[in-house]
Amino acid sequence: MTRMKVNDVLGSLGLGILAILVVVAIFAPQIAPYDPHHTYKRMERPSSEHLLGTNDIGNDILSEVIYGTRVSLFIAFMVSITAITIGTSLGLIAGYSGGVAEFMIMRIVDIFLTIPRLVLIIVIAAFMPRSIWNLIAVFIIFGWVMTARIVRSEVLTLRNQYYVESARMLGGSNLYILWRHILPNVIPLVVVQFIMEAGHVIVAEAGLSFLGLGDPVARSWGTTFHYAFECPTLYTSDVWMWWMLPPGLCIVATVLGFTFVGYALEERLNPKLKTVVGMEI
Amino acid sequence: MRISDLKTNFPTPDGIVRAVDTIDLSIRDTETFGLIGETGCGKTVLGLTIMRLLHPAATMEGEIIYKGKNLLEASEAEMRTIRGREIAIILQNPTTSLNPVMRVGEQIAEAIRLHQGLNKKDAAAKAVEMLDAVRIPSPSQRANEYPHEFSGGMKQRVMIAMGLACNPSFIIADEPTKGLDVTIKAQIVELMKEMTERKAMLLITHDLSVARELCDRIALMYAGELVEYAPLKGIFESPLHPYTRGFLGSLPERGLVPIPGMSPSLIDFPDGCRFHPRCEHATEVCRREHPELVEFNAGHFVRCHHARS
Amino acid sequence: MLEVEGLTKQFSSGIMKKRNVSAVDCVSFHIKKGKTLGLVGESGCGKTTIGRLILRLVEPTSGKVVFDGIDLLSLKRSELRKIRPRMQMIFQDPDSSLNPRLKIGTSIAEPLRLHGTVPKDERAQKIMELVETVGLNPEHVNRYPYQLSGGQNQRVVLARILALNPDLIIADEPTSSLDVSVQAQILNLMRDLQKKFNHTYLFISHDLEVVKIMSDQIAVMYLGKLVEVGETTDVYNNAKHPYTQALLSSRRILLKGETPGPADIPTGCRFHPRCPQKQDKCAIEEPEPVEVEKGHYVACHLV
Repeated sequence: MTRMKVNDVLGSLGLGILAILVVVAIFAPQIAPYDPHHTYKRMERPSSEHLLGTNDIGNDILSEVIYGTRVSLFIAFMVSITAITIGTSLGLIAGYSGGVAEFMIMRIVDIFLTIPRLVLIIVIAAFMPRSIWNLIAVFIIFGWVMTARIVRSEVLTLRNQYYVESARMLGGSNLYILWRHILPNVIPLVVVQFIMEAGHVIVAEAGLSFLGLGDPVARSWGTTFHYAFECPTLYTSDVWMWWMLPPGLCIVATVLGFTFVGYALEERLNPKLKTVVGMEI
Repeated sequence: MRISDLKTNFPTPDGIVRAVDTIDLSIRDTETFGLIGETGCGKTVLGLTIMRLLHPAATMEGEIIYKGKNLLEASEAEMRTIRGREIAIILQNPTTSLNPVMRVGEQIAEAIRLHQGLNKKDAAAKAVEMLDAVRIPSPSQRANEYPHEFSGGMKQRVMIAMGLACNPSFIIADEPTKGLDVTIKAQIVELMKEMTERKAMLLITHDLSVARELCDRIALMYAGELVEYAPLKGIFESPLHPYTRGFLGSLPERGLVPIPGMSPSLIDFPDGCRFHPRCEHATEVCRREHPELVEFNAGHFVRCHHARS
Repeated sequence: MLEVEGLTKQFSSGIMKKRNVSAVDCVSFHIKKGKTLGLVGESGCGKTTIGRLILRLVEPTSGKVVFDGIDLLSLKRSELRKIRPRMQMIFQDPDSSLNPRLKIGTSIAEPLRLHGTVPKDERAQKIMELVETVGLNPEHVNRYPYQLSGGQNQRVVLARILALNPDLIIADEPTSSLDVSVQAQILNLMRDLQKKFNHTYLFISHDLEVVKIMSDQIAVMYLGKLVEVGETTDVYNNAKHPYTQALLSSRRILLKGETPGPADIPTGCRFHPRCPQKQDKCAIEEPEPVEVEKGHYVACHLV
């Protein structure tokens, strides 16, 4: 009972965080006090004019962080939607068809799973022109794998459920059975995967951008981080407090938001994790 | 063993489940007492209540007197010495009740060492002896195998061996033949008959044919309470309660006459007699008043306003 | 209506050493229209596989299945899909026979929608009709399977099958997960429906008492083979095979040992290691079915 309640509180908290971030991302031009690319006086301390001061080339940091929300979330959602769609489709095909298709897909999955993901992403990203689309592409290449695997194993159990066999007996085609009887039953899993993947991408993107592999034009939180870090006086003065801390906190908050929602959903959707008082009577 | 006024409740989000509701019965020293009921009537909970193996949230009221001691008031430490040694339970579904990564012999020996203070070697020898007693061929070799190497019937034999390993005087057997094939079931029933001859046993089952082979007295449970209990003959030859008659009548060999409707949930019982919505003889008084369990003939108790022979 | 001849299914097992395991071995029987054949056997004897082979949910290795004059095994996938609605199957677990995310009404409507036999505006009425036929309440239509009991869900399964008006129904242990009082309700319903719609049943069960009351003919199966086939009354009153006799003895004849797995089938008569009446010949030679009286076949050296 209490576990369920804690779960609900966390879930709503996560949802709240994400809602605020999405609103900020959508209405960035209205919320941000300045154009993030416009230059003002350099290295200003926070004042009523620039709430978080300005950076080494004179951009307003608050505006940069607000626009950064847009970039970070955009990448996260684009990657998650595409990767999860690909992963779900391949998982469905592998689990349902069996045979050669399954063998091929699962071997590819195995290969991807054994490769250290972040290292390879860094290597690939380093050789590609720095653009937000390239980043998205790299993340998608690695993002679908887990979903494909999870969906496939679920489909393997669903495929042998009597209601799937009944549907075949009723004369339903394979496509019909997949769409009507199998997909709806894997959707809860897929939703959780989607949330988890989005949180994951936020961190990975911040990491890459921090290394300087992000898009210098569309600055995400990680990119802001990167430029702050390159500033020689970052730690000798208190400038990190308004330059480095805000984007860092944003990253932490977003990841927590996704994680809370993910856990709450998983608990909700997975009956095995529900705490039940009593036992078989 | 004497059970009086026993009530077991579980709190759930949907309401309080009254799984066992005011049960009185006594089981004599060497008799086999059959508790018959359908899914969700509370029969398994009764067995677990006696063993005090329920979820901590469950509340229990009443008395279970065993050898002069009220088990409901016994401490957890006392219960541990009673479980297995004095009262043993043979669970349904041996597939999940046996530890898959432990040799079968060790699992039996574990119980023996716990209660009889034997050393490892003696306990292992005793375990082999028990496997032999339940007619497992080449027992010393089988003792070193893992549960997955045993068939369903063999696993059930292992469960019986485990239950009887410490020579308990009271046995609770919960659906010991569930899921077994006809010919294997016959073997297990035969084995149980032999092994429990001089012990008291509470046999919990929905299978009347098994109860008929093994039991001296039978009680029928419906919606958490006993509706009728009597010696074997009384139940089969002159059942008094309409539920008992309906239950017997719905057996294929007795004409497959169903009882209409379905059992109530243990959260929300009908007023009056709990069986009245499904009873063809129900009258006004059945809807209004909850009947008491009364002795109709010597040793034959029934809970019905209209009991007649 | 249904003729099965020499139906065989072999599975290959083992990774290193491939070997064939026959789950169903040369099974033959036939069922007349409107009649019921009860197929009895213990778990693992292959009775469930037979049901699936007939419907080609599993492809047979060899043999012949003729349904209403059509040779099912020669049909192409697309032709098979067209004929499938005429043959339906009831599974043993009613709760997993229905998609948990679909309302009862939607599940019952599924065959109507798939085949478009009933115009859209008449569907709701047709569903109500079906619901009533199987003894459910109209309000059940808006519930989900988990809100209904096992017995009620099995009624839903029946309603859905009736929507297709099939000729042949294969019922695989349809009541083995139900309580006796509910089992009686479902079996009675099935008998009533058979009378009303002239269904042909293949009734698969391990419970001899149930099969006796449901069937016109009985086939007893042991380790992938039929050991005795005949009219119900003949088999029950005059059982010839020692295995059938043991099953029918209601525990008076105790068989030794257990059924071996399909991977190590005994030589000669498959039943001989457990047979109380075995002779030397039984371990060597496999008995052929012999007709002991009209329509009553037994595969045993003793007859």
